[in-house]
Parts: sequence; C-alpha cells; structure tokens
Amino acid sequence: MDPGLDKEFASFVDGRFTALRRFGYLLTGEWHLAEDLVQTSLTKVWFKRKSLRSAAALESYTRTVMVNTNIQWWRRKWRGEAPTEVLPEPPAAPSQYGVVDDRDQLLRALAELPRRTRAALVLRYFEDLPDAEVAQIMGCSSSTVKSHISRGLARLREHHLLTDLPSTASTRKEG
Amino acid sequence: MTDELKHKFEQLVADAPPPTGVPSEGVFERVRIVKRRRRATAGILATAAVVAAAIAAGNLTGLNSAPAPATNTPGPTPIVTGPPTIKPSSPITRTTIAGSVNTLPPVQNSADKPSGDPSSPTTQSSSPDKTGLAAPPGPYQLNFSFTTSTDGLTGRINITATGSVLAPVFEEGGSVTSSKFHDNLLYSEYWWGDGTHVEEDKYGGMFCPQPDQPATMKKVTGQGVRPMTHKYAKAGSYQFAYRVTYCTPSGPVKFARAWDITVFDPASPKP
Repeated sequence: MDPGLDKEFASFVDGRFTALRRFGYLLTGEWHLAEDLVQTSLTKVWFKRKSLRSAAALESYTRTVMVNTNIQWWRRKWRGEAPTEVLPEPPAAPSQYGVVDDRDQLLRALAELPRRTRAALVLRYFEDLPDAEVAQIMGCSSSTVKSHISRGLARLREHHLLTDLPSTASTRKEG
Repeated sequence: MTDELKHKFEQLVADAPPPTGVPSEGVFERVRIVKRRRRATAGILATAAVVAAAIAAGNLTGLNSAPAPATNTPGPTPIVTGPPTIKPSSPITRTTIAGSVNTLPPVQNSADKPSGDPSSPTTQSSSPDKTGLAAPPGPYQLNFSFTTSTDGLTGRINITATGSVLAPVFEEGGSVTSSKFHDNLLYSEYWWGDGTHVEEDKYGGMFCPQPDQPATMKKVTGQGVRPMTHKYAKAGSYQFAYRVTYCTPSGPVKFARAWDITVFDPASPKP
C-alpha cells in the first residue's frame, strides 16, 4: 500500500461517505444495503485509485461503480427475500402522517422502476447532474439518459407522485 | 416542478441512520479481505498445478501410484515446471431453446496484429529481459464464435472463446487463476442495444503483465463459453455489441463484434 495515497483515499471515504450512502439508499431503498453497496464500490475503487487523481474523479467513478454494482447485484443475487429494517404492518386506515406515506409511496414507485431508470432519475434530480454527466456515469448516451428519465417520470406520474411536474421536455437540463 | 422530485428525494434520505463504524476502516478491511482471498486462491491453485505436474512427470511410478523406490541417485531430481496451464474443467453446455437460433461464423483474433493503441509497448515484449527469462512461447490468439437465439422477448447469446492468452495480473501481485476460461480475459463488456450495458465485475485492479516482466506472464490455453441472457421490454430489432480485451506478451489486444438481434412479443403475431 502507498501510505500517502491511502491517506488521501481514507480522507475521501470519510468525507463523502454520508453523501454516497444517501445516493446508495435512493438506488436500493434500504439503508443497510446502501452501506454495503457503498463499501463494496469503494473497495473496487481502491484498486483503481492510482489512476484517479482528483477527488472529483474519485467521486464520479465511485458513482459509476455504484450504479453498475447495484445492477449486477440485482441480476446475480437471490431476490426471493428482501432485508428490511422494520416489520411489515397490515394495511390500516390512511395515516395522518402524510409525509411518511408520501415517502413510502415514492420508495415503492422507485422499486418498480428498472434499475438504470431509477439511477438516471436519482443522478439527475437528487444529485443535480446534467444529462451529459449522468450519461458518463451510466456509460450510455445522453439520449438514452433522456429516454430513461422520460420513462421514469411517466411512471412516477402514474403513481400520482409528480402531479406538479410539467412534461419531460421542459424539465431537461442540457449537459 | 423539478424541485418537487428533488424535495421528495431529500425527504427520503433526511433521517439517515448513522453508519456502522468508521467508513474508511470498513473499506480498508474489505480491501484486505479481497487481497487475502486473491492470494489464497492463487496459492492453492498454483500448488495444485505444481503437484499435478509432478505426478505427470512420473514422481509416482508404482502400480498403485506409490512413490518410486529410493535409488542411489544423489539428491532429489529437480522438476522444472513451466507456468501452470489452465483448462476449463466443465464441458461446453448446450441449451435447447425454442425459437430461432443463429450461429455466426467464427472469428479469429490474432495477437500478431494487435488492434490496441499503437503507442503501447507492443514490440519489445517477447524478448528476454535482464533476468534471462522469456515470455511463454506463443502463438497467442483467440477464436470467437457466437450463437444467438431468441425466445419471445428474451435474447440469448453464447460467446465461445478458444485459444491462448496471458492471465491478467493483480495490482498487488499474482496472476488470475480460474477454471473458467473467460475469467482470464482482462475485461469484457456487452451492450444489449436497449441501453443495457454489462461490464464484467472483477474488482478492478487487474492489468496485463508488463512486457518487460516475463516472469509475471502465465499462459492460459483453453476454451470457454459465456452464456448471456437478456429480456427486452418490447419487441424490435436491437444491436448487440461485445467488446473484450485480453492479454498477450505484446500487450493488450482488443476484439469487438456487433450484430442485430430481433425479438418478438409472444403476445402479438410475428410480422
């Protein structure tokens, strides 16, 4: 190991872990899985750290690895059982906690999206990245990103989650 | 507006629980585990290869594979073994699939004409280095053949690779050792044509052996089949693309191929 390089890498990990874990949560919908995803991805990134000189490059590459690893997990891992932090509750009368309901509904809607569509939405709207940068992270073209986002927003609208959103064309940010 | 979705996303992650432990310590622990696992795998398989070579060389000569009787030969006879050669242990699997099946003509990709970056050090590789060691003798070439089939909206592709390559090396030392031939290819990726992009997941940190370090070169000869399956969302014609990079004493060699796959929705009649 190169002590200087490892010190820089440790500093990057400790500094950006919270943000990356949030990104991971929006990709996976589960906090423990998000932490596992971030740590697995950072382990992969460690082996490439010599070619990633700047913190921006490290973070961008880490997000790329996270998106791809999440898709690979989805394909490879047994999905018959999903870990959960809370026991499921039986359906009840509409809760007064509207915010919690909204969040739950959004999580369910996100879970129904294809992985790459979900990643595109999160990168675009949570991370505020332009289409070109999203395309770079996802390893596809900008038009593919736009297509993912358009389909993703349409699906969210079907769940009545985004009634205020205008048509996709006017929400695009040029990369 | 677009802020609405951002706001909803922010609400989702607002009450994040604290991480378990110091993040960097967790990552470094995982790095250590990966490195240990790689070393252990490489060590076990290298030992197995040496033992196999020793048996093949006739160390066990008795009728019941008992050791040869002691003779007056002074000292043990050294057994010189080359780098272990890996062959796939499992036979080629053939899947019977309802629907159209198409076998594409085989393609030969020879290391004699590398298609990589011409500026890469490809010309001095096979020459002996200062230690007197030379790269394992060639030829290094891969033959690829592709079999495609469709079943409704599902596309299946079998990629068969046959030939000899150099095993990639890990950044921290040691070569890749796997019974699956495709694992010995440095890097491969696939595009299914509908935006799905698949990269081989090998934990990164792998490189081709340096041309001036033939001691790190391990020739691997064999054949392997990599089956790929993908279900498309809707019927249509898609362009599948495959790109692979493998190692030779001349440096990395790239190979790419693309072709069309047409899938049909079983619910609607074929055009």
